[in-house]
Amino acid sequence: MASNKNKIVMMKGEKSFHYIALVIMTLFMLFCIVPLVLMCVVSFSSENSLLHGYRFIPDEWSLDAYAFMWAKRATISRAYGLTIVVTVIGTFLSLVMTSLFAYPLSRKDFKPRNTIAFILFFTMLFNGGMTASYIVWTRLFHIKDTLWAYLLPGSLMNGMNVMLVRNYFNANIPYSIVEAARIDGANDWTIYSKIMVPLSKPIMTTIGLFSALGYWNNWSAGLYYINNPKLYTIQVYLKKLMDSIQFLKTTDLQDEAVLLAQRNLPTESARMAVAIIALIPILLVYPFVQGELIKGMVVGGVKG
Amino acid sequence: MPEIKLVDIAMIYPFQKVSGIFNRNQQELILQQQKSMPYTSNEGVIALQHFTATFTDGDFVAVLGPSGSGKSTLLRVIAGLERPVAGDIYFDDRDYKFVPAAERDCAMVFQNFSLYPNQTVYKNIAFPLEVKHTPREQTEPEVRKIAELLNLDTKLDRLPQDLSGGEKQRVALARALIKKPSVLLLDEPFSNLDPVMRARLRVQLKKIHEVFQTTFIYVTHDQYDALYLADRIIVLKDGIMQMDDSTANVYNYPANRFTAEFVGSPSMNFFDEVPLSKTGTISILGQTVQLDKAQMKKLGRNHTVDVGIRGYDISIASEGYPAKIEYCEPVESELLIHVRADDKSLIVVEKADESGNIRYFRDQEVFLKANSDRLHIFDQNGERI
Repeated sequence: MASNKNKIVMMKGEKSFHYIALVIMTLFMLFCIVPLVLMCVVSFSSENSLLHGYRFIPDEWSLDAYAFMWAKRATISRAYGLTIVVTVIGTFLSLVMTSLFAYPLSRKDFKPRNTIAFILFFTMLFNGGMTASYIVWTRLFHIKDTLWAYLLPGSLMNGMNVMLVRNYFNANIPYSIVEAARIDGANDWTIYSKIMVPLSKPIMTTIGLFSALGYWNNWSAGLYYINNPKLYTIQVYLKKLMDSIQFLKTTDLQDEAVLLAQRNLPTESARMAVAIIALIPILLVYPFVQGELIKGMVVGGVKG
Repeated sequence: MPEIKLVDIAMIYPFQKVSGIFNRNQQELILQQQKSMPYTSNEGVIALQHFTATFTDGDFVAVLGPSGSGKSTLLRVIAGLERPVAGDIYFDDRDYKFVPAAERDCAMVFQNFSLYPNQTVYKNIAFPLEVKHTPREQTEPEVRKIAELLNLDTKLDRLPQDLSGGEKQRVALARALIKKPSVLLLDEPFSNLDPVMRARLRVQLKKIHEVFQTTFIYVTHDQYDALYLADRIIVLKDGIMQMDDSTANVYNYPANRFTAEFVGSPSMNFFDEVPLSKTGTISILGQTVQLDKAQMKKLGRNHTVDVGIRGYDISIASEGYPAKIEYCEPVESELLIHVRADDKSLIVVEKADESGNIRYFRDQEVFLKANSDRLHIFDQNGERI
């Protein structure tokens, strides 16, 4: 009887809303989970069982794809390491650049802030286009076949993130704290580094995760700007693998590739296995930042 | 310790925020055109007008006024958070109009505490010294000393979110005082606190002022805070200074009707448009008062005056002017008796009976006696004569 006392009484309409919401959310969850499960199953399927398409229960289970990964461990681990380096440096730079841009835009006493915000917003709607960007990055900044190719074009900072951080600063950090710091003798750098950034953990986590995902999944930069296979990240490697298994034969590890090709070389399952491997760090990190991420997304988008 | 001088300060908050030099020029033009009278403008809210005052070393000045009277704006102008549209600010004859807040020797305590939520009490208090790169061995004893003075020594490791309202305000006070500023600006610091905590902090603040002997400028709409704490009160209304005088003078000799009504609790009783006899006398509650020559001169051709008298200066006597009690209001050790005399509602303050019995009752016929020496007479413009 005691447990009944604490029961939340729901109205009839409320109850049906809960059920409908539950069904919709379950469907959404399945849409996300099912391809992931399928990807995992395919990576453990033999190549022959995939001839007639992907199945949740394959005719024959196999570890060939992972054996192939193991054989290619030198290349894959280099690509993996490079991806980690690019992601860590890129995310750090992106957070610094984004918050440094957002801070003056949040300051009421910074007169040109509306003009700068407009210019920023303009870049969200219009940009120079692929060809112009390519020419600028390669001819002017000479980023071709360097790590900068992964860090700079399109990823270092984007207008949407700056707007989110600025809104967070405006809506969640009382301006009187900034004024108190000014009176206490703090300069803008001290206010930014000791007050604004530490108080913006939720939005920084959100932007950081978006940015890290962007860097981790960035294959296009490698495709446009990188010719040197030693500079392939895991996503570029995966992309090349997906484009053609022949690519393996053009790498510096030709001997191993030929050796593997003579045995029934896994193609479909290998692609999925690389995708699984590429996904692991994100899956590991996400649960730890989920709370802050949700908080950041909710509060960052509140005020325009 | 510098002397702070504000000369003819004006501040406008435009309705429509137009940034840049054009807007400032436009505001200055409006002010120049309307130099001699209170500004009325369609351009925006005028927060301060022709404000001139000097704050000398060690003053405890209260700036008193209703909400929207420009009190906080005045503090922000002194602190350097706002640049006035017109007028000058001098710290010891040096022009400070363009000196940024960080370089002014001011500290400020905000109404909403404005503590740094990510930093412990220790770090909050030490912040002004840290930004000046004061060595740690110098900072620590200073922080501990001031924390002890404000009874915060056991809370130094806590975060602001773990403190009560009173403790937060004391941390804000400690953070302001550790700078040893020339002037401490307090923007309604106790308005978010409960009455008991207010009373306690009021006493503490008075003691702190005695210890530090620095200039305190205390903004409040609570006249009790102002009357208790300050040696001098500036009364503001609609951005215009109404009076700037010692606390006693503001209470006993209000310069205008607004000050008379605003300062003091209960509010002053007023008799409007009291006719003046040919011989220069007025009659209030059966008492006849003769106006002196100076008062007559100030009055000019006007033949009516407004007369105010505080509830403390009217008593219930065995004989006098007849009145009827409407209701009684016991407030602490006093009894506020609301009476009606000649269709005029008045408040009379009597000492409450120690036993708690109210010896007056509704519709009781009583006689009032006014202390004719304590009448406050104002002309029709509201100025004291």
